[in-house]
Amino acid sequence: MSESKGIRLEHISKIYQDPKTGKDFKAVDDTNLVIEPGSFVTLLGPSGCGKTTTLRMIAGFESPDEGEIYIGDEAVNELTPNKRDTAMVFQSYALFPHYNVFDNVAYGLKLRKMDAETIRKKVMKILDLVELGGMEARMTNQLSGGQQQRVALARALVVEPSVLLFDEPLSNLDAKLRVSMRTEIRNIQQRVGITAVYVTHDQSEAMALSDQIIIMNKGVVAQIGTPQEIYYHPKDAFVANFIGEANFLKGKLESKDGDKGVMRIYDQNVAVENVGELAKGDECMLVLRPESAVLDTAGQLPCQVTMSCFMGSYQHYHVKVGDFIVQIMDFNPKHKRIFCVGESAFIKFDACDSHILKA
Amino acid sequence: MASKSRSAQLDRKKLFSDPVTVGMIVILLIFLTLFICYPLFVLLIDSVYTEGSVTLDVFRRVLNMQRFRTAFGNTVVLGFLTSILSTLIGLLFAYVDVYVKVRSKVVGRLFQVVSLLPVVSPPFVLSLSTIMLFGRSGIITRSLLHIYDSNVYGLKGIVVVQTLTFFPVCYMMLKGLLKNIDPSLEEAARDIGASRMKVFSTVTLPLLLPGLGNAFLVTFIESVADFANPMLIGGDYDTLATTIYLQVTGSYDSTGAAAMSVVLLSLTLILFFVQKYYLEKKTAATLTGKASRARMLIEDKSVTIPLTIFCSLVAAFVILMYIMIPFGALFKLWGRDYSLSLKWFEYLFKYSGFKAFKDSFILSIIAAPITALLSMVISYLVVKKKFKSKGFIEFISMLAMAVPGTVLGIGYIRGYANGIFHTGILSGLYGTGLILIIVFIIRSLPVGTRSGISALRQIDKSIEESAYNLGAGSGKVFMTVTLPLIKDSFFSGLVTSFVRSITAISAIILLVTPQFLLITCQINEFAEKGYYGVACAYATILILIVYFSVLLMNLFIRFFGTSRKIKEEN
Amino acid sequence: MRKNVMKKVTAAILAAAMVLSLTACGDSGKEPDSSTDTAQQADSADTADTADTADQTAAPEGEEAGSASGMDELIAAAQAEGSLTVYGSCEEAYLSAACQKFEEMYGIKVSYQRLSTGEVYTKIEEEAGNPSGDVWFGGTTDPYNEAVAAGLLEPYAAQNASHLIADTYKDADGHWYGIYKGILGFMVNKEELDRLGLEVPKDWEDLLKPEYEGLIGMSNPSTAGTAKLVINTMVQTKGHDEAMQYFQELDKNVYQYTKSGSGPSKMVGPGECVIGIGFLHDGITQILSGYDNIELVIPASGTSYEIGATAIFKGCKNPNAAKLWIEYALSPDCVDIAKENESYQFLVIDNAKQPEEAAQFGLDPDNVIDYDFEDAKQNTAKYVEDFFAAVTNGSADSADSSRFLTE
Repeated sequence: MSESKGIRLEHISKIYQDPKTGKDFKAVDDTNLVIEPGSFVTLLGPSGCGKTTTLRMIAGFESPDEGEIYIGDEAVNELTPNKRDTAMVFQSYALFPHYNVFDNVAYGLKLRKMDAETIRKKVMKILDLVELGGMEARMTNQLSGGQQQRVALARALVVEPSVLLFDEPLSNLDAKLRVSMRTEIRNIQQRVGITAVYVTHDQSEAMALSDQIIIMNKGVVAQIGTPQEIYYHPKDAFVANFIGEANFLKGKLESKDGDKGVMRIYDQNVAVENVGELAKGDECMLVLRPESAVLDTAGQLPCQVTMSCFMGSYQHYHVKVGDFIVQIMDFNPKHKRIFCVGESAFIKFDACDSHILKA
Repeated sequence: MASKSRSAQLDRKKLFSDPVTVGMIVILLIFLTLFICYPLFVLLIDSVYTEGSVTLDVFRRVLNMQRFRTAFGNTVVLGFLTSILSTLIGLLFAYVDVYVKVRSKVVGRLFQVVSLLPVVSPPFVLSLSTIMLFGRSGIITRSLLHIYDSNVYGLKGIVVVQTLTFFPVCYMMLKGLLKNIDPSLEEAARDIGASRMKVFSTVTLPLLLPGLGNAFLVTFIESVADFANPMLIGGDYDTLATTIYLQVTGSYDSTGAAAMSVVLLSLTLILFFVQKYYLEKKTAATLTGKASRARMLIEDKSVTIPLTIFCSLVAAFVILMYIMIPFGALFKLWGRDYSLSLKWFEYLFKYSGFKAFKDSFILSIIAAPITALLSMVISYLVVKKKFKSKGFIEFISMLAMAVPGTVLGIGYIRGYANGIFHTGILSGLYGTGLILIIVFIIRSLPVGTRSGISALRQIDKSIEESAYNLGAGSGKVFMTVTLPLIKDSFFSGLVTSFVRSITAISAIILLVTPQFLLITCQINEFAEKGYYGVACAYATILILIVYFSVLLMNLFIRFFGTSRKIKEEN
Repeated sequence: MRKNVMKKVTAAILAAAMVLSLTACGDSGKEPDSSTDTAQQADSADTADTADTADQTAAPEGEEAGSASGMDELIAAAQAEGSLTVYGSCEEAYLSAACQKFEEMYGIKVSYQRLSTGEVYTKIEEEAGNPSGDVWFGGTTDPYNEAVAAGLLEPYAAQNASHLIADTYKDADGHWYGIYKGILGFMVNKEELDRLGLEVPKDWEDLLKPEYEGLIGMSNPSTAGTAKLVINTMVQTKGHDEAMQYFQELDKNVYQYTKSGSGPSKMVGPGECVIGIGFLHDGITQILSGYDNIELVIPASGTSYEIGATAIFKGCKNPNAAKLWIEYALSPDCVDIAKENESYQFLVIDNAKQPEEAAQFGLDPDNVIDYDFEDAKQNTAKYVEDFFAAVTNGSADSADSSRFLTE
């Protein structure tokens, strides 16, 4: 297997013209990225955030309007896709319908002018890896969606590229298959140790797969980090909201002591942590994950229950704090007091589970 | 602020690092410029540039010609009548096909045959059989009905023949549109209490209106450009296409003919622009969706019976016209002796018949694969690639559709008889088989390109991208992935261009030189002189050739088409 | 292969010429028969073939001492060019046969196409000195004269021109040579006339009778030389203004103007039209092909005739083969096969055999007016223009203002 290479994007911008208004807009705006060799990186964001464009620029299907892309140490801006050492797995699988499984996988090898025997060996080996041994004579339309996606993966892997690119490869599969396939992809990637860039809008997929997640919004990188960093320490409201569920409570920072502080929300002083760069007196927001708070008869914030719903593994509440509706998931509620709609209660959470953002 | 030019520059660099694509684009640009733009340009030059100065004298002279004015009026009247009738009959056929429950299998077959006819029909055939059936010495008029002064020549003859020739095209176009109308729209209207007629006039018709306009204009262009039918059955009724031809061959006035060609060309181009850039978009906008489910067919007998009967009669009439041709070839002596003999076939092969078939066949069989390949390459470039001259290539190759054959023919003579711009460059081309092949290619290119583009649009872009991404260059991608995936379209393009070439007349009648004898020219020659037997013998064999080509195409698509799973060979 | 044949041919020609000079020369009555025989034997035996070919080609010139060698050189030069392109304005069948025979006789590949004289003229004019054909064969002399005036034809002093029966049958400067002559007249469908209870028209004036309305077929002067001849004939017999008046009147009776000159003759038999104006030998062709309902009429007050010509295009690619063609066209080899291929026109060289069929139908080659070819040469274009003016004016008030151009 050829040595896996890192990827660098330096000040990359891509401009499109809006076909309706004729105005230019930046699909990708001055983006800088460093992807380490052998790592699995996910580009995550809502549709239209520029993640697919970024991926296609790495593959060479699109050309950037600004900046330079490096694969390894080589500037690749002027290289056509067939000259770049990348292989892509497409959302629609993009299998060649006129070839059988073997020929699909062998396509890239034949282009590299290998002899038939080598090709056969390599194809068989890779088909075993994706657990499709014995299926090489099937036509692609005789395969299930999951199998087709594995053929696509095998076809990309077999040419031993330095970089493997995934463009929402699992979005056409049903939910269960999606979960099992993503584990499989992660396993295979780790086994071959290849650099992988994976585009998705599914946050759980991103969490499950990635060494690093790059969250993009409106053409700009919103945050880069491990899944944990992104989940627990979102940089802004967009990231916090996009990854998992989050409650936002507005207030003012009353005092600050290092990373800790006291925030005033609706006349209540609440001890918080993860204050970051904020200064005393700043308007700010408390970010609270629904699963890190519970309802109790005593706690930091008094509230009014507006919805109470048993969900099996947790009790789901909507409570009102001043004008805010706060969502709370109280896990394992079997032995806890259940609050009913209309009751008064208190929101209780560990200060270390709080995260403060600038308002 | 970054400028868009940077990515364009990079794209260009990438494009240029791909010699196959660049080569193809350059070849196409040269080819289209030389063989479509240049001949038309020459006509324009010829009509405004006399003795070293630019004047409108020629136009003034032509516009003052009574003959030209009448021809212009005639052309427009003919275009209107033919396209209105063709659109209406086409609509009726489409409506019956899509909306009405037809029980009889025979009727179903009739419809199928009718939809195939425009593809396989050589020119002249309908005119020829109209003359033979309904002319003064016609079998039906004279021998059966004893009408001795029937006159099929003139406007009515052309309108009937053209309508029968073009309505199947409208039928196929409108059928596609009707199928795309979601039945729930009409059911909703029915549900509120509208009658069937009301539903048709308030829901179906408005939805279809741009499509009808589209069919109307396409027919109009075809009708105005038609040369063979007005030539044969027009009698005294001259259209622009025939007037141009006779202006050249009869009055030896080629500058006048050039000016007339410019007028005819402007007419068809305006129609083409309206059709392509206004109506086609509008059609797409109103009818984008696919029908969500099957339609409840109309079973009401008061609707089905008259409609079915009418359509069957029209279809049977068309088929009768075709059956007349082989009989015309077998009758011993037209008007005198209707016993059957092979005399005319013998006559045909005694004189130049064999050479005519050989020449026509060879030239067409060379032109067909080139056309098919070129149109697939153009479609590929247009759909899958971006480059600066893409718009030009698409536009010009589609434009050829709106250029009447006669105009193109005159442009070629003027432009190539003495080399490009009379400099002698490429003068060797004129009078060779190559120039005929080129004309064949140009004439069939728009059809192939259109079908190629629609076939390619249905192919997921990422299939080619994945091949590209795996290391294949554009040429390789085209040959190993794109072409195999659109081979149905490729093969039908191959056959269509073969058929169009072997039946071409208007563009080549002025270009053909004695080295090549073409079937269609022979038919024209003999039919015009009243040798119906020989003309029919030629036409019969031509129809057979064309029919078998189409049969071959259908067989190929059935057995090797992309819809069928390809058997594993490893 | 071809080179080999050529060597053999030239050798054989020399040998044959020597033999012939010993035997009695120029038994022209026998000549055509033997030549057709050789054509049929053509592919039987190679050696016999070449010897025979030489025999018949060398024979006609045997009469004139000294010219034989010139002819041999011409043949050799023509064979070196190897091919010839013919535009024919006569009937397809005759054109085809004449070309095939030339090819068989000299081993020169002949391509040909039948086009009306107008189409040929346009083509050659458009090609401006770079003609796509070498020679023009058949069709009336009026367009040939127009071509002479436009400088499109190459003069050539043909040896066989000595056989022409009169000087009328050639251009003074040798731009074209006549090969046959056709008589203008009417062909009528007797059955139809009987059914309609009408008389057979006897003369030009009869055609104007109102009862013939919509029954007459004539060719279109913008494409057919035949119609130009009709116009010239009328102008010469009636005077210009009278003639135009005549056509204006005649137009009311005309059912159709056909593109080709022989069009009306073919429409008479099946009943497509009842009276056709055209060359009577075309009528014979129709009668012999089975339309025994056709009757031929020579206008009582006199008629005119066409001269079917042949000529070389200026700037042609195979000048020697073209010259050889002219010699061939003026020999019995070429003209005598006309009648075998449905063309029954009168021949105008003294060593040819006149078609018996023509005499059979009572056609007399000499019952014609003294046609002024010089006037035709000068003024045809103008007369045609006047004709259209007259006809369009005449019908401007009637419903169909443009009756013209297509067939």
